[in-house]
Amino acid sequence: MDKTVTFALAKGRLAEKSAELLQKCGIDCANILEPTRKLVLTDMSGRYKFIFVKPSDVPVYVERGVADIGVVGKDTLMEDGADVYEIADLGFAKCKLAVAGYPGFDLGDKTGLKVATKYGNIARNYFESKGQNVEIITLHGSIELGPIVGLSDVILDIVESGKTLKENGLCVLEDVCDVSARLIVNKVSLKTKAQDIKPLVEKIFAALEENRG
Amino acid sequence: MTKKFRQPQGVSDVLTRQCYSKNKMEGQILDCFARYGYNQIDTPVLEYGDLYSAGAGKVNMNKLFKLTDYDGSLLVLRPDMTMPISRIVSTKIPEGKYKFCYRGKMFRFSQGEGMREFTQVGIELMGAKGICYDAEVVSLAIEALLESGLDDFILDIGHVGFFKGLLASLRLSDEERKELAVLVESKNSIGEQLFAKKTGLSHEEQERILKMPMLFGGEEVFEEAKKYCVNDEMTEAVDTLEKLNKILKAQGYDKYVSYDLSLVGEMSYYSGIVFKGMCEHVGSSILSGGRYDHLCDSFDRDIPSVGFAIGSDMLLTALAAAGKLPVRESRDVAVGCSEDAIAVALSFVRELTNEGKCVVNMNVCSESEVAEYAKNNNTKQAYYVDGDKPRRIV
Repeated sequence: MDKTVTFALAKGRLAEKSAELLQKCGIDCANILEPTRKLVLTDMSGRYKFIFVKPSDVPVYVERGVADIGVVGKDTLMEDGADVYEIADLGFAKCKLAVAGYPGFDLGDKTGLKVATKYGNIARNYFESKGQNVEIITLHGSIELGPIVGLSDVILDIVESGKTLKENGLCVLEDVCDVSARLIVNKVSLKTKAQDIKPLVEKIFAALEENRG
Repeated sequence: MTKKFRQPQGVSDVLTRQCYSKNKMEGQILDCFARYGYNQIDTPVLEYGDLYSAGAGKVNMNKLFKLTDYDGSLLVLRPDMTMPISRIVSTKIPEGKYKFCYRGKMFRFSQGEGMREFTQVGIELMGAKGICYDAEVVSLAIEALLESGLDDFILDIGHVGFFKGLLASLRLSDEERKELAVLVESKNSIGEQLFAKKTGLSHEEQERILKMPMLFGGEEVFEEAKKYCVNDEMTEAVDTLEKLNKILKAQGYDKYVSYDLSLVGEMSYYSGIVFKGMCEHVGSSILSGGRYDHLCDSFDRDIPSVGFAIGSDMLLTALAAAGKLPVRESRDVAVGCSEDAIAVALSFVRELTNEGKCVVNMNVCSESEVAEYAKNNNTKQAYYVDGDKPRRIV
C-alpha cells in the first residue's frame, strides 16, 4: 500500500452507508461523517482520500480518473452513462424507477404521450424500447407537478415509498427498473493501483456476501 | 450566428510550445521504432467506406466521419492506421514479413467530450505468427514508452482466446454473446449475475462467468485462471500469456506489466494477445494493441499480424503530469539591425545558421529591444547591426 486511493462520494445517506461498508472493510473513516463543510477529507491512516461531490457528478470524477472509486445510484449511471467499471451492487439506497400518473391513466392509449422527468435518456430509451413515441419534458425537481398542473400526462421518476405520489393523488403506473447504489472504479486506476484497489474490492465483495448472509 | 471564430467540437489547435513537445516526443518514438528496424509509411486520410464496412475490420459506421465522392461512393476519414496498412500489405506487397511504423491523424466521430481528431504513433508487424513476435512487439511497446521519458506506467495484457473459449463453452445466442462481451469488458458483475440467471446457465457455468471480472493482477492470475479453463482455446490463451510473461520477466520488464483475462478487445479483429498502456495520471489508456491474424482475410490473404498504437495526445498529458515533457531550449543568438543595415544583418544571420546556431532575427528594431529580448528569453548571445560589422551587445 503506497498510493493514495481517492473516493468520490455524495454527501448524505449514500456517504453514510458507504462509510459503514468501508468500516467493515477495515478503513477507519468515521471522521467523514462528522458535520463539516470540507469537500476533501482523509481517513485516519491517510491512505484514503474522500471527495464530496453532487450525486450526479460522481461518475464524471471517476471516469476522468481524479477519483479512483465512486459510489453512485444506478439511475445516474443509466442516465448519463460512464466509461467506468461497474463492479458491485452495494445493495443499499434501494428504490425503483417508475412511470407514474393519475390512477387509471392508460399509458398505451395515447400517441405523443408527454412525460416529465429528470431522466431524459432513460425515459427516451424506455419508451423507445416499447415502440412508443413520446415527448420528453426535462425538469430538475418537483416532477410530480407535471400531471397536476397539466404540463405532462405522466412522469418517470425515482419512487421510494410512494408517499409523495400518494399525497399528490398520483400512483405508479408501470415499473421501469430497480435501482440501488453501485461501486464504480476508474478503468486505469484498477490496474495502476491494483495492489491497493483489488484487495479492497475483494473485501467489499466479502462484506456484501456477509450482509446477504 | 457566424462560427468563423469558433472551432468544431473535438478538434484542437496546437500552439508552438505544445507543438514542439509533441513533435519532439513523436520523433523520439519514431526514432526508437526505426532503430528496431521498423520502416515508416504513410497512408491517405481518405479511404472508401467499404474498407471499414465488412469483414473482421468492421467498424460501427456511426463512429466515422463520412463524405460522398462524385460518383456517390462513400468516403470516410480513417479511424485507425491498421486497416489502411492491411490494405497496402494485402494488395501491393508480396508475401513476407514486414515491419512498419507510422504517425498520423486519425478521426472518429463522437458526440461526447473525446477528441474527434487525434494523433497516433504506432507499429504493425505483419506476416508473423508466434509467441516470439508477440514478445517482440510488447517489449517494443515498453521500450517506446520508456523512450518518451515515461517510467510510471503499466502495460495491461490479456488474450481474447480466454473469453472466446468461455463463450464457446456456453450455449448462448449471438445476441446474448454480444451482451456478455459488453458486461465482461466493463467488469459489470451485477449485470453478469442477472445475465447468468436470465439465460438459465448451470451453477458451474455461472461461476465461470462471475469470476471473469476479478481475473486480473500479476502473474498469480494464471494459476487462478487455469481453474476455469474448460477447453483448449482457454488453456492456450493462459499458456500464451504465461510464456509471454516469462520472456518479459527475463528482460526485467515485469514491473511494467499486469494481466487481465477479461480484456475482450475493443476492436473486433483482435484474435490473440491484447494490451493497453496505462498511466496513473491519465484516466484512459495511452497505448493499445494486440494480435490480429484474420484482418487480411477479407482481402483473401492470410497475414497474421500484431501491432500497437500510442495515443500521442494522451501520452503528452501523461508526460506533462510526470513533469517529463520535452521543452524547447532557448535560442542561441538574437540579432537586430538598423534601417540601413538590413543586408549585413541578413548575411550575418545566414552565417550563424550555417554554423548550426538557432537564431532569432528581430529585423529592424532598437538595440535596447534586442538586449531586452535576450534577457527575457535566456538567449546566450545578442548582436546589433548598425554598420558594416555586427556588434555583440550581450
